[in-house]
Amino acid sequence: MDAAIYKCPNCNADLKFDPVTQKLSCEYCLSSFTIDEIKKLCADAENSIPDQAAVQEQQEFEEHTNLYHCSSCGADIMCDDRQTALFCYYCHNPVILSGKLTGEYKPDKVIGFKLNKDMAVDMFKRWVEKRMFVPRDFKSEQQLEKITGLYVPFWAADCSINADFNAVGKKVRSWTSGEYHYTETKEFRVIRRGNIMVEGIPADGESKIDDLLMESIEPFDYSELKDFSMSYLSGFYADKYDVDKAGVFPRIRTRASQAGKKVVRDSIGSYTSLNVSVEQYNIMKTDWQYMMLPVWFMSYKYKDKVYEFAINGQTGKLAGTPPLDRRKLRLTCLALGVGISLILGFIGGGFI
Amino acid sequence: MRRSGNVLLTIVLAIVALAGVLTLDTIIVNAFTTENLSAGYDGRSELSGLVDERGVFKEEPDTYASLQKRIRQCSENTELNILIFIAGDEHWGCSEAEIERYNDDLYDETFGEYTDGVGYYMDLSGQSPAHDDISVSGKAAVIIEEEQANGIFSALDHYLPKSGAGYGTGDIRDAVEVFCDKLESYHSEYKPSNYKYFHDKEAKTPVYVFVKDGETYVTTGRAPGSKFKRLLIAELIGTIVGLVTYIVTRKKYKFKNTANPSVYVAREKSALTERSDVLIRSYVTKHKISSSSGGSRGGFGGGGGHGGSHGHFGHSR
Repeated sequence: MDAAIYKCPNCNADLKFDPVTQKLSCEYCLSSFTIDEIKKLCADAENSIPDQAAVQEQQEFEEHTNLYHCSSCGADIMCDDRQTALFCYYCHNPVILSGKLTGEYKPDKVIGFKLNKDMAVDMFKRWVEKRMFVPRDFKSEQQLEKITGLYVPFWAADCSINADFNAVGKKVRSWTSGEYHYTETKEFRVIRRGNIMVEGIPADGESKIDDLLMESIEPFDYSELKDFSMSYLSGFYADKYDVDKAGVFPRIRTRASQAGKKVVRDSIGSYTSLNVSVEQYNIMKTDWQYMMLPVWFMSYKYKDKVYEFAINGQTGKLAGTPPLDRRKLRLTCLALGVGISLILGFIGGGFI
Repeated sequence: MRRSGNVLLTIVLAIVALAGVLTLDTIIVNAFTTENLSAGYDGRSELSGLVDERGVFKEEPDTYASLQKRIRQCSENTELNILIFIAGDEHWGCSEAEIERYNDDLYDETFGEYTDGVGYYMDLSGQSPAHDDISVSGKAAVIIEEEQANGIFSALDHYLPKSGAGYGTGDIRDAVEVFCDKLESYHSEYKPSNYKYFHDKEAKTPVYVFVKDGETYVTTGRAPGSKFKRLLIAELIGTIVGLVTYIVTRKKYKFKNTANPSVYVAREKSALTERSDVLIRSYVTKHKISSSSGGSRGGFGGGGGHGGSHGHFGHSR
């Protein structure tokens, strides 16, 4: 007898039937679906066969993409065959050509760089000049040279969320009349249910870049999203993803739930207090796109810690952790403290 | 293990830093010590006495002589110069400031500047209100402070006439004797502590009077204890400012996540199919407002001004 195997609509892993919940559950991303739901979702799913043009594009990608490997940190860097990668932009050690990429790593979409390197360097300089306690060589020309134009692999997810919210809200008002103080409390049953659609929540598929750093330079303007072409890679580097859809799904789920929660909470009026009994945001279906997004990236190693800095190559939004020269800060604070003590000592009569 | 080692090191460093600061403060305080102007008490009690401008005891020379004797005895007992001036008609209409300046000048002319002593100006000029004044110099400034001065004025009020009223020589004699008694009493109660000091900030030449190791100092600079305390407060504020700057700056060097996933919501494709806020219960509670009564507190204050390196306590009758 053939057993029907259903794939998780969110992460594509095999679903298993859970006798307790009577639902099909994904052990990997923890999604769960009723039989009816999964049958409907599978019926809606496209089972398209790649057309000839798509096959050609995949072959072109495989032929013209070189993969470089950093033996120091393990990063895989890809660039087109007209460009040679010399160093790893994470750890700044030399990289070696390790071969070609297979077609599965070919992105669906790409957003091209709108900021050139000079603009990125200017933005970095403006950002860093406000921070006087960074190490001196963090601002050096040598360091500025390390700012690298990089296409970061992103999984962008469109999620359909079932929201279920149930709470008791209280509205309290009080007033005084005569010798008495009155407090009126009204309790409301607050119910919100519905479907919330989030589109294009991105999660980078590169484990070496801090996820929060990439989230902080969002959002990208998807209206400029184009079909991937090798020509976009010219002059820039690109990462090969090392975290697949299933790997990024927990992050996607968290962020989609946050977005859903915001919609629901925004729809609730002003209550004095809200006692929530049910608040669930279940992702029923996820559509994925694999895309390359432009990022100006720089890493800096200081006292055995790597500090990363990134600029959205499309919008110019900037994020990063500035390294702190603690010795410089301590000396400055000490000088400040001593200076204030001396001034106050003189003014306050500590010397005369 | 390493963390506890760091904590221990921090504590040791803090203790060393504190010890260093205290040592430095001691050095600073000693380095900036100013000259001691105190002329002390030279033991010449014969200079002390009663100046009777009003002529109260003109007809009673024996009483006058006995009071002179009493005052000189008090001077020896207290090791303070004492001058009691009974103002007559010449000083009718003098303002408080003029009285204080006269009292200071008379004292300084009689005993010299920065000596240990007290000048009492007894206003019998007949003006209304009458204004008495106590001028303290040197060690007397730390023996007679506001509380003691008020004690003296209060005690003498029993004997001295009200403004414009007449007086009897017996009352004035008693007042002088009570003054001496009170002075001896305050002197015997007085326990010179190391850094008891009096700051005469309204004087022409402001001085600080303090007693250190039993010796009276009159200096243009503060007492070492006061300077030490002020330095410590300044250092504490400096330390707090330095620490706050350090903590705030460190926070600025932390990563800040500015992501906002709600920008990905497709509003046009999202819909809340069930959206209800149903009233399920309503109730009103009331409580009686308890009445409370409040009181008011009064305050009082006082002050005075003068023209010399003396402390002053004024009193109107």
